[in-house]
Amino acid sequence: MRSSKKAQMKIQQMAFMLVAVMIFFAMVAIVYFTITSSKLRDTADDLREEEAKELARQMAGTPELMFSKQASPYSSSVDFDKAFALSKMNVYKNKYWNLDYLMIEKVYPSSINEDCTSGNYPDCRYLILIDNTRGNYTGTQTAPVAIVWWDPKLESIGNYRFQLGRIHALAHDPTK
Amino acid sequence: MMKVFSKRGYEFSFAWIFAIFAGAVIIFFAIYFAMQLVGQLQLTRDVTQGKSLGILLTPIETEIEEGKFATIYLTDPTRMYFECKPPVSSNPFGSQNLWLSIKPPLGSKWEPSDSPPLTFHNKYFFPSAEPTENENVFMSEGDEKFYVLSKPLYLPFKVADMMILYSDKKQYCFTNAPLDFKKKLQQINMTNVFFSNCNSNEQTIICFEGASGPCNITVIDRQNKVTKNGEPEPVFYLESSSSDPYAMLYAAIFSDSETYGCQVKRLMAHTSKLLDIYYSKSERIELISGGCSQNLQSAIISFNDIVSRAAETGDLSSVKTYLNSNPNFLSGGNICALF
Repeated sequence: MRSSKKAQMKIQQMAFMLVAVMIFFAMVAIVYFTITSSKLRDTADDLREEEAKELARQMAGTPELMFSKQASPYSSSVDFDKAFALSKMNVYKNKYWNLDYLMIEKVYPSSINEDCTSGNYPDCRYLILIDNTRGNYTGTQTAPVAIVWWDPKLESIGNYRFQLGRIHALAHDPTK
Repeated sequence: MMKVFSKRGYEFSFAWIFAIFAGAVIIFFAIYFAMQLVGQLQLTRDVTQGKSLGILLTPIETEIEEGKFATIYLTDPTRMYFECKPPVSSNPFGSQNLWLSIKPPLGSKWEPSDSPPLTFHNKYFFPSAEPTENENVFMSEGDEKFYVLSKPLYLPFKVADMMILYSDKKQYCFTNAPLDFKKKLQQINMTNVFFSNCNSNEQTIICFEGASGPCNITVIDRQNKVTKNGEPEPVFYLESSSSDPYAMLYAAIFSDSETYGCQVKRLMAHTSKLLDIYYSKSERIELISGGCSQNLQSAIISFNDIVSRAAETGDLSSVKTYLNSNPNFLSGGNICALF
């Protein structure tokens, strides 16, 4: 009888010890996964910002926005007229560049502080090409760029006018 | 007398049975979770490295340069998997899928990654890669480096950057290449590309017309045709309207015929969308300047019809004929140049 009681006590001790060990490992695992997932989220955010930065820098060279190489062989500029035409095309709005937001801003000489529409183009400042942000522009990257558009007031029949501009880009958020 | 109970026998108590059972369960779960964790970490590494590679490829694209050559350094042996999807109505630009699979540690089996692919609609990869068990998926394996040659295609405006990828395990040797072609490649100082002392055991040999000796790939530049050993049909290329006319030829040489054919369809679909943009621009300039770019609008419509058909069939002959017979279109307009 006495040895049976002793054995039961041992089993109980072992069971408690095992439960304690399991709880300890579970807690360690939870802490590990919390740290790992937060690191992963940081990595994802960094990559997203990096992607937007590179795309903003490179945008002047993309065929959709690039000003004619024949007309301007020594510099890369954004063709505002092509960008305006592109802003009307739905095929570019969804994941073509993997961007949630893409906007071209005329910086200097300054223009009227308005979004570009068919009614006020080209006398406007902000040309929004993509906007899938629902108002959250956190992480938007910018890059300076030369922009060019056909100005009918230049010379007799018009000519291309160059201005200083800025590209704003926000990479697509894969969690959305 | 027979002994009923041996005094030397070991008492296998319930405590022992319980300890062995509980220990086995704990060890089983520990091993199971450790394996899951290693798998997850491997997957995370594949995805983040793949994403980094995608970002890294953006600055390799050209702006006004004639081409760029870059080396991608790897920390571990890596396999890249490529899949090209041709354009369809729901995916008008087609797409390029890319996976990375980094060699797992401790000698475990190197399998394709389960990670979701990185999908690009604006990039055109022409990898030097081998077919895999999966249809349309090609794989390129590198030990320490991958090389990327980026060349813009102009028809006559810029259509896209063609990215030719090959690993440090591949070597190419060109025999009897035209002087201009040789000069273009030598200018950018490409690695693992040679023009003399070809060795058919280690190198892929590309022969231009008039070359003698063993050839893996034959180029007939008069016909814009590239024939590869072991592939039933030749592929055709267009001459780019930029200062390097061979952009598409490099792509045809380095990539397999299936990927090349799919990318050609994607490039033509992209050209069609760009023509829509140029048409809108042309209309606007015409409206505000009194017909300045009028002469190009009908040419844009005709060319758009031709490239739209080429995007479906992959046949470039009519595109080539149109570009060769319309010098006015190639110039992009005289006074108010469209492109």
